[in-house]
Amino acid sequence: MNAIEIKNLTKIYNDFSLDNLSLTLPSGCIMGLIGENGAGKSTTIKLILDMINRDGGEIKVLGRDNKKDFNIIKEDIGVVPDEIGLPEYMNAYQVGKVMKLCYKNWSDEKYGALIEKLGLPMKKKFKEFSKGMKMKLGIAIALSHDPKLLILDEATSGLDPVIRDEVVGMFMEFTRDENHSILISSHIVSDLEKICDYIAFLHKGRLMLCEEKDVLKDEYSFVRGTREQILSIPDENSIGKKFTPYGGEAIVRRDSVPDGLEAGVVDIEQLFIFMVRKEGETEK
Amino acid sequence: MKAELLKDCYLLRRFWALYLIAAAAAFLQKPLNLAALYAGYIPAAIMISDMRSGWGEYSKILPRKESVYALSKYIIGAALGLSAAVLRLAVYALQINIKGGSAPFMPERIILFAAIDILIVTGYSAVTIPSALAFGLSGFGLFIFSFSAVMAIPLYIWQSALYSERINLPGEKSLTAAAIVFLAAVFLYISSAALSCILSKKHLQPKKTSAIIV
Repeated sequence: MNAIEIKNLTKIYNDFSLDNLSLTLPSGCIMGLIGENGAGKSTTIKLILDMINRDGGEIKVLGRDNKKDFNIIKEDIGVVPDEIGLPEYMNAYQVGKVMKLCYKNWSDEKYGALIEKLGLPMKKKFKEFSKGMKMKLGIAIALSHDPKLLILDEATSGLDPVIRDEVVGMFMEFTRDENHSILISSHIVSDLEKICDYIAFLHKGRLMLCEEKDVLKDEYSFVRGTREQILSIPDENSIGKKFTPYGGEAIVRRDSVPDGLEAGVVDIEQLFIFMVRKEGETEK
Repeated sequence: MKAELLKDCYLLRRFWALYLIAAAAAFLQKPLNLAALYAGYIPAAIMISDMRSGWGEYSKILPRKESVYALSKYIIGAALGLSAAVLRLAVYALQINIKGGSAPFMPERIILFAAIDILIVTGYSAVTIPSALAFGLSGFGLFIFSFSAVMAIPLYIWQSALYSERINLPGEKSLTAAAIVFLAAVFLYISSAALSCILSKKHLQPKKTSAIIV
């Protein structure tokens, strides 16, 4: 079963539209949504969670239509939105008590252990939490009711590198169960590169690419050379090119690396930046 | 519902101190029960606090019906209305004991006062909860909040007149008036709750707004 299936999803705003988006997140996998600010990542997540109305298309979450059966599915979804809107005058202990009454599968033990692991105070008021602490509490809530699917919107932003690494580890641990899946959006591409099986690039509301991370890394190479060497690469073989006063760089298909240039490993952030740049040049 | 109620009860703690001060003022034998007036404001204040913190938006990810968001405030309001009435009766009972058995006025009239207290609490909540849902925290919403408080003035004048016996209601008529006031409070409250259920569904359901959410 697929954790998320999106077909031809469309959402139109006055000056932005999500255009015919289709993607599938298989069970047991982690998919990273990458895109610049305003690319449509949060809109996609809000549409999946039925928090905003769609203008077209179809969304299935854990095999069920998200419009018809969403209240049933919510038990099996852990969500960390970009803003954790918990009441300001409550503390982590009280939040746990409230959530216990919300979720059938809520585990106080798991919640307590996560709060401790993430170094959160039990008695401090939520309004006194830093952004990072709020995010950590959101993550603890999302993981404490045994969800099958985690949906995380910029969940690692605002966390310091050490905690971020720990949280990323927790997500990896979560997907060791083959029924568990994660959809995560983040600006921090290095985090996504660490944990994701699939990468989806969104740019200006359009899905530019959705592919297995390993396939992307196998398929493309990063090359650096003189300006002339980079210019000699046919456009159809490259994802994008960049020139500096000292030469040039490009991302090319691994089987099209010109002789004399060394093929380096491409990272996802480079791939994304080059793709967006090429798209920008095409638009001009 | 239990989760929302528990959350509202946690938030209710913020208001206890002022509520107790208002309750203490009730012991000054003034006709207006300040505790009732303040209690009427509390359910909508909890809702405003929810809106400010983003709880309405966050709660969309929780497995529950949208209507519990508003209904919980009505349950809190009903409990506060009853507590204000009980407080009125308790003050009356204390007055009898302190004055060695002589009541300041007949028991039927104190039941009417208690019914008016319930009407103040529920009436204020019945207006402010749906208007908070419909108009939010600013502009017209704030106007309604202030205007509803002003609406308590006629009730206060009536209570004062009864208290000073400028209006003289015999015992039986006092009980009839209390029953009418109580039924009016219940009717107003139930109608308002029904309206708020519809409004909270609109408030919490997927938005059709054309605002940019990216």
